Amino acid sequence: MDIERPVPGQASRYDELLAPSTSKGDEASFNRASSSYTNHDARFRSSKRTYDRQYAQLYFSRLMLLKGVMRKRVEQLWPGVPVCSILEVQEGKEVAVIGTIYKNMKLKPSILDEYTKDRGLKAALGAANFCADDDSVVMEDDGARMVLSVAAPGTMAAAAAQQPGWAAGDGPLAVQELVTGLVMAVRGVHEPGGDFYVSAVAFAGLAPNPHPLPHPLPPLPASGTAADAAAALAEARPGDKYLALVSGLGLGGSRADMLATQLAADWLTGNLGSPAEQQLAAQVVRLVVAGGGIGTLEGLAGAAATAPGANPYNRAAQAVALQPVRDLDLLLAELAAGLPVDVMPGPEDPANVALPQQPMHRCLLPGAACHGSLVRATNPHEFEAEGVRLLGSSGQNVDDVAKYCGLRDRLDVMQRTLACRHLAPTAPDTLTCYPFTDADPFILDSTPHVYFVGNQPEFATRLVVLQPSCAGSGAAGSNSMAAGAGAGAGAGAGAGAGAAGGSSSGAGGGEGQVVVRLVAVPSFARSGTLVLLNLRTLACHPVRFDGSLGLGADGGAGV
Amino acid sequence: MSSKKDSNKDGKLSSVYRQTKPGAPVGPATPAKTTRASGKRKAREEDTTPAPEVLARSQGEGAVSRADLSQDEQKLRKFDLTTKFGPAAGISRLERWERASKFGLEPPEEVRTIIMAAGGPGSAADKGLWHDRV
Repeated sequence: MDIERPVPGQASRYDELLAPSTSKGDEASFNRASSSYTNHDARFRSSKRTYDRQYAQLYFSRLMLLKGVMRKRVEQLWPGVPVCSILEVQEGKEVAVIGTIYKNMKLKPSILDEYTKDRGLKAALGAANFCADDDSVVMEDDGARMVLSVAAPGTMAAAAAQQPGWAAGDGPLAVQELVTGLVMAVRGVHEPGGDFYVSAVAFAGLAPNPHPLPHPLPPLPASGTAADAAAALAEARPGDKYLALVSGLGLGGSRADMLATQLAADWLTGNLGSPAEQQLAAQVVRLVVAGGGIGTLEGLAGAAATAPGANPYNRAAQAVALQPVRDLDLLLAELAAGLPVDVMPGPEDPANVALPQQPMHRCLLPGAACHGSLVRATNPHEFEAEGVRLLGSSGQNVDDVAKYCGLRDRLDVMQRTLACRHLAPTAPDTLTCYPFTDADPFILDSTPHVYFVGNQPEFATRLVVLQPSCAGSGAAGSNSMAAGAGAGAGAGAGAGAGAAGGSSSGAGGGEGQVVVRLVAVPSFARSGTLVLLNLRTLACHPVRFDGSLGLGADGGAGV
Repeated sequence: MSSKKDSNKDGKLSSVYRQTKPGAPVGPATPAKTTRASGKRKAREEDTTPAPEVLARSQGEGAVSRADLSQDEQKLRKFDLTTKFGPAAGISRLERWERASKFGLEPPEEVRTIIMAAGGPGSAADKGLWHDRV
């Protein structure tokens, strides 16, 4: 039978879709690639939870666990300076002290304000940033606390600060970049009758990666322009396996675009697109839903619900409350039938509010939990796929740090928390956390290869390559940015902030280098973007789904 | 009078000269340990007759001087009050000991043996100074 077929030389992307359907025998079928997977969530799980403990135990454990690392770092950075505790600091002698930071912020909302002042401006601030110019920093250790200041010129401390090799001027204590709960070391002098004047600070630095990457990374382009991102994509070989990251689906909320969500689900399960697209979807080995499955339930807070006499427990109200969970269950069941899925609880999901959030209960997802391919994960979630170790959270930790420090770029916040070896430094001060007594599961003993954070305002990524706890500049410790091209500024996607890295710190020499790919996964309800991470090259690019037809929608990969 | 003195001759004289005022707060003459322990919650009452160590912590009546405490109890209190091993409020003594040894702080081994001899976790010896008070 003669069928008209398109001329091979002029085949464009969607020609297979527009061509008449081929006979059954010709249909190409794609098999989904599979990958190894190991779950490492054990340290975030807790079986019994007693909430009658005090948080002082958690702070003590945190300091004790990081003290060893900090001490080695201090000896490495400032040889010859004695390390002592706050109670042992003597006046006029230059010492180094290791302790936890507490930042005094007058704009920080405090429960006591209800009794002392009227609400006014503070209540109206909402989730804004609480930094002010006069925030001050106090350092605490297990014995005492002391106020940290920066040296005034002409004092002994300033003279110490100006020695060659040490940080100068008002640089060392960057109060805007610190948050409560960080463990750091300060070097300085306690002036007679004054505060402790800081001449240099040091953080723990990135932990080493004990597990080497299975494949060496390809050389990265120096800058992060879109053209180079395309080049990074072109590096992808046909056999590459991808991990899909999505977060903030927001089902049930007012912002969720069900068409975009359904497009994404169809694409991931291979029901959408031309064979080229299906081939790419077949290479996705796993989907991770980084929190935010349920959107804000405005229906519950609406006028009908809060009217006097409204009963929140009657059948109608319960149906409104439970519908988003059922929608999530249906969506996850559809996805889990097609590919392995890890679902993490997020800030508004039906899980406990204190970090680390425990996995959502089986009974909440009756349809989806039947599939063995669904893994109900904790938040934060750590796992290993194809030899690559990934660690991610649903965004509460990074959002909270961003509220209390002056770092604007979310990737900088993520890098700073990795450099301090602590995922959630503001817990338990402003972020609810379980009162651990003898452990702190947020401490990073080893840096993962990929650190992803969900529910962020926009997509951004950066590859950080550093020597572990490398010196860099004396003041900022290992905070210096490494040469990293953010691969993936896909056209039409959210702002791909592929930052052109600054000077690379730590000369060449691949041995013992720490490599981390930082990924800020945007909220799907807001941007319709999911992120594909190549497990071989650690390059990632966004894929955008837009349900608004006629506005130049592209239902496929943005290259 | 003389008979009373005679009968107490071979007993401890401190039981004769101890003075306690019912309901009044413990004065500065008592050693620091009991003062600190009984400083909180003046209205607290024990329903059942408590053990001597518990009595020692309570307010006003039954406050004991340091000499009346057994050696073991003194060692346990000293362990509670050493800040090197971390905050003692809200955590049982055995848990605190285990945590201190986990962090390499070398807590005294005898504290552990005393607690285990008294019945292990959950026993009266396992409850720290601040148990039920904070």
